[in-house]
Amino acid sequence: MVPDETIFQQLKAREPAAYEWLVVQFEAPLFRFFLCDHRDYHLAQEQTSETFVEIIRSLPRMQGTESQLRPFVFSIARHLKSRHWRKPVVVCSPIENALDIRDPAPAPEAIASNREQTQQMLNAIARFEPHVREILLLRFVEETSLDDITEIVGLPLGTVKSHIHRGIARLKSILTGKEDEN
Amino acid sequence: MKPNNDDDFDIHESELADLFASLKQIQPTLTGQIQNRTTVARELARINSTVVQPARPWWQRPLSSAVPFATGVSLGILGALMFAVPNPDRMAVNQKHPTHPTEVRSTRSPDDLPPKAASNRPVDDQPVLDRYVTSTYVCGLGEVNTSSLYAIRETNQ
Repeated sequence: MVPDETIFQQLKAREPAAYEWLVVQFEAPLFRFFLCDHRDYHLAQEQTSETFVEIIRSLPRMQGTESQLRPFVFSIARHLKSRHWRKPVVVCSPIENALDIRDPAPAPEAIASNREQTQQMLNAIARFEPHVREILLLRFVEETSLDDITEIVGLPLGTVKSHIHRGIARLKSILTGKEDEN
Repeated sequence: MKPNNDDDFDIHESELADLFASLKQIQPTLTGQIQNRTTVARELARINSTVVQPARPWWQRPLSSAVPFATGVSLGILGALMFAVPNPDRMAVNQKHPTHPTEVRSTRSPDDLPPKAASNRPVDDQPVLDRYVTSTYVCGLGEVNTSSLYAIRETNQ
């Protein structure tokens, strides 16, 4: 997901083609990042779109190299999530936009079989503190490196590792029902 | 390539891969994808149109002002134009009805006047009143002194 130098410079120059690449690369991770946090589908969608708007506005001023794009994007998403407000957004899209996009969602049968497991994981993650939940999602869902996580959440590496160790242990106890017994 | 910091969690990642697999399958719907692309396109168009548009020269730039101020200035300009441009109707009225009686003015005394021909005199026996006006003008000030002389002239031959 790290862009090459050309795409990175095009992003800074606000080239539309580069932002198509950016949307394809980050719309699903950002949507998951928001949805797993508050489980509000519509709010997650609005926050995903709002994150792209913020990226467009602030990326030309970004300090750093192309390898820091992913921490930059999730830092914006994390900042936007912390605002805790929701403004009504009405978007009217021309119907021809739908012709070029394939729906990547799984088949209804697969959705039904995964729904129970997804709901179980969302319930378990919802019991964590917000910053621990962010770290676990970034690490195990988005497979973000520890260095990038420290940059995103603004915590030292040792603190991030500690949160992950304790989070894994607690997640296991939640999923096995041991935490409720205690 | 992942940094060395990630090696500490290899065992946990393998154990937790199945647990988080269901969350990895969460994807935005078609409507969400369209909304993302529309929002990005609209924002790019808005910013690029703002940046690319060249600055207007000063004589083409709009000037914003308060409505009372603009109205007052407009009325002032209109009034000044009305007084500056001569009104043909008013000029015609002034010529028909002069405000002051017409006077015969002369800067010469009656003694300097040449004798007029008898044919120009009225034929009747009534005397004619001639008025002679002498004025003193100073450059830059105008008329400073005026004296009038009336002379009765007999017209009998």
